[in-house]
Amino acid sequence: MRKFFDKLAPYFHKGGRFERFFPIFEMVDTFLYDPLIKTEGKVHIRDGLDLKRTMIIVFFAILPTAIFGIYNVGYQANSAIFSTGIKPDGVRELIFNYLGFSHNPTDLFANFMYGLIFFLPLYLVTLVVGGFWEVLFAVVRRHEVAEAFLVTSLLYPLILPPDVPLWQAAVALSIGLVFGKEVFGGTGKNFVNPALFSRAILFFSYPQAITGNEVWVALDGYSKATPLSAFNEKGVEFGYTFIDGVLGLIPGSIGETSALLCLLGAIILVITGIGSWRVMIGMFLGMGITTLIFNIVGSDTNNMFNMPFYYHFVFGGFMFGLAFMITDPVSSSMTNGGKLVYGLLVGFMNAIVRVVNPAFPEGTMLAILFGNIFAPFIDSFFVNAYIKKRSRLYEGN
Amino acid sequence: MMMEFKNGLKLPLPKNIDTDLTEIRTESFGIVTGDFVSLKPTIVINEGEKIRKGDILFTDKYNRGLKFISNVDGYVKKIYRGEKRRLIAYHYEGESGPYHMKPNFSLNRLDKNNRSLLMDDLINSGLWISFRERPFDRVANPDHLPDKIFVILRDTRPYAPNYNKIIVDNLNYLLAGIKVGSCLTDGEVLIFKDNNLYVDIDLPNVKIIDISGSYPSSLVGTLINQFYPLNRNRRIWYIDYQDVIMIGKLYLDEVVDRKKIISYGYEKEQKLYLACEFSSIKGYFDEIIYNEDVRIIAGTPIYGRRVDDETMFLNRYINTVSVLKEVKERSFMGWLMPGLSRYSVKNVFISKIYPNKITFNTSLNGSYRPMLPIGSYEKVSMLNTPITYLLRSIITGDLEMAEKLGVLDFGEEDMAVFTFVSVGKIDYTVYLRKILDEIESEI
Repeated sequence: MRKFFDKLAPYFHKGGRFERFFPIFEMVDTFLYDPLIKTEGKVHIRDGLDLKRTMIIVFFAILPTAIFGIYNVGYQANSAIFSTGIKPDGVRELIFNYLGFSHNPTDLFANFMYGLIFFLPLYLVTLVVGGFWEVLFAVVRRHEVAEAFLVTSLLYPLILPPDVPLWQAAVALSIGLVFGKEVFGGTGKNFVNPALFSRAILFFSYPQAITGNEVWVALDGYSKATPLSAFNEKGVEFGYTFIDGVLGLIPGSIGETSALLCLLGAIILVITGIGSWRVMIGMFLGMGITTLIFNIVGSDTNNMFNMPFYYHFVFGGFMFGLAFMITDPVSSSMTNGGKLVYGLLVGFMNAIVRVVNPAFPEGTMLAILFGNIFAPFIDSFFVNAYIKKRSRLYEGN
Repeated sequence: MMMEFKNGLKLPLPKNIDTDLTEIRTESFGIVTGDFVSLKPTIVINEGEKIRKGDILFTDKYNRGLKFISNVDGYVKKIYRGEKRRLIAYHYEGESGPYHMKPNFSLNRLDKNNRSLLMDDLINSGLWISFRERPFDRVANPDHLPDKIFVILRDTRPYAPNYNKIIVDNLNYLLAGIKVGSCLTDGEVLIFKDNNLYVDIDLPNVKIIDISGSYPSSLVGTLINQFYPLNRNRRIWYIDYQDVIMIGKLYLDEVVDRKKIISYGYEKEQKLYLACEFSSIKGYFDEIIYNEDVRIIAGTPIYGRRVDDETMFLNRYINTVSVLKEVKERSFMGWLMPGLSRYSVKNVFISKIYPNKITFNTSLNGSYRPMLPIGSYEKVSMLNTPITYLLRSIITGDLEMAEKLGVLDFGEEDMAVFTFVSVGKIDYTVYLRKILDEIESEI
């Protein structure tokens, strides 16, 4: 196989017939074999970590959440079908029946398979649409395809509700990728997290696809509130326990329900040093302290004030955002102090949106996007502080 | 005073090499102009002409201190030029060895009032070039007056020789050299040493600072950033311990002895050589011949000059010669493999747990990508500067920001550690030189 690629290579290099498509060739070629690039200049050895390895580690950190998420989508739907007797129809149902499964929520495989039938098309659409833009910009701009898309494309479906119409997801992703990332120069130059930005676009363009109580279980005509909205409506008797939130067999966006597996992902990222523990700690404290204050203040009209602060860690998208979203190094603050403040700000904003805004009892996405925009501003305090400190040192002579 | 540098790059390569000393006897010498930043040479002695010890070989158009002095009785063999007749290397041959030279003053009569005569001694002996200047990282200009002189008695580079032993063996010369150096500035002379080295200096303007920490805590950029951050109005000179010893020899023994101890490293193999400045490094290798499988570096793997037949001579400023295997094979899906032999500062390979099989080669270990700040820079940085922002201003050519964040503290070698850890494989040494040149052209 190596020989085959070596033979093809001249066509794609400078002067070759398909020179324009070099980014595509490079992508496939270096996916299969490490690139044979030798160091030039004066630094002769390099660290073993490159962008491919970085992204594959993030990918593996997300994977448990993704697999569990797929299972949970099936489990939620099958449970609903089992208990209500609503009969789903459509292509998905045909495939499911063709494969010989039935809607039995106690059957592990049936749950997983039914979830997969919802997740896979969404993931494929993301890969095709996102991949198209990524490669198009790479070819036109003549740079190589950056691996960061591998992660974006997995994150994006995981933060969507299972029932979202595919075309809406595709349109939002296109706008989000192009205007959130590619126009700024692609990977490493975007100022917001592209997956979150796409979700925000979806939220504002097609609110019915992503809000309300209808969308969280993959069954048409069935409505079930996420724990957060349930709490907002009913208060402490909202029907879930802390352990439910930790384990995650609850309705919600595909990947975000299991706080435990998100935590596992976060631990992988911290141990490998790819995610910053500073932003994670910051966000954790920001959320914890703010909601604790709300608990102490209390409220008779807004139930969310009374949601125990530790519940906030396990319900909604908080853990998922903490592990995989806020840790995006490009859109986060970059100074060590700035990272902590950035995390605190996002955690604080998250709590505010969740608790104070009764219309929308979830805020991780908005809080992180808000944080992204403030990240350079936060850094500028730390950078300017250093510049000031430095100029004071000059005053001696 | 004491200072402990945290972080840093702890490469699994040998340090403090301490073996038997082998003297290199070679008649082949060469000055590689690439070691001297923005040198504009004027040839004094041309190809084929005879030279004697102490003759001026060539000079620099702008810096009267930058004179290359012959250390042999022999002849100029060849002058290699590249594109646009740019001088690449100046080869000369002949018998080397210490020679007598009487300085203008004896050590006891030295003081700041006869500074210019003292400088003449150093320039004419060829030792002046061991002083370098920052900002801009050039050979020191004798017409400038430095605010401080940094004397570095440490070397944390991989494969570096056991510096403390060399210093202790030559302590008298070192002290004499420091005394000479103390006359070159009206400000302080800062001595940076290990705290287990005892140096007794009783000079009013000399200050001793004990340093501990791994690479790059011995590089002058790290020290400047900590102890005397530079701007356009400030200036420091710096010098390495073996050069101070040479200057001491000139004043104590009245000889110019330009021999240095040079370490050699190739994977697990290490040696120490006694060699003359600018001498050929061909004699360093027993079996390995110069071929496609290995890269020979005048310097260390982390920062040095790659040599070829024309430039196979010692690096003037790094006392190490190293050999590195060239990468030849493309491994299958290396980004997915556990990585037993790959090294990373991050915990991403099995090699963090079983470090025995780590090998280094010349692979870039990836492809060129945009800057992705996942904290690697902060992890190795010993600087007070917000490093990601400094590096970003350097690659985007933001002169104003770079200068505010202290780019003038640095030379190319200081960027080696950040180039090493860069996930996007960005060579910051190149960008740094570019931005320093741009700032200088503004002044």
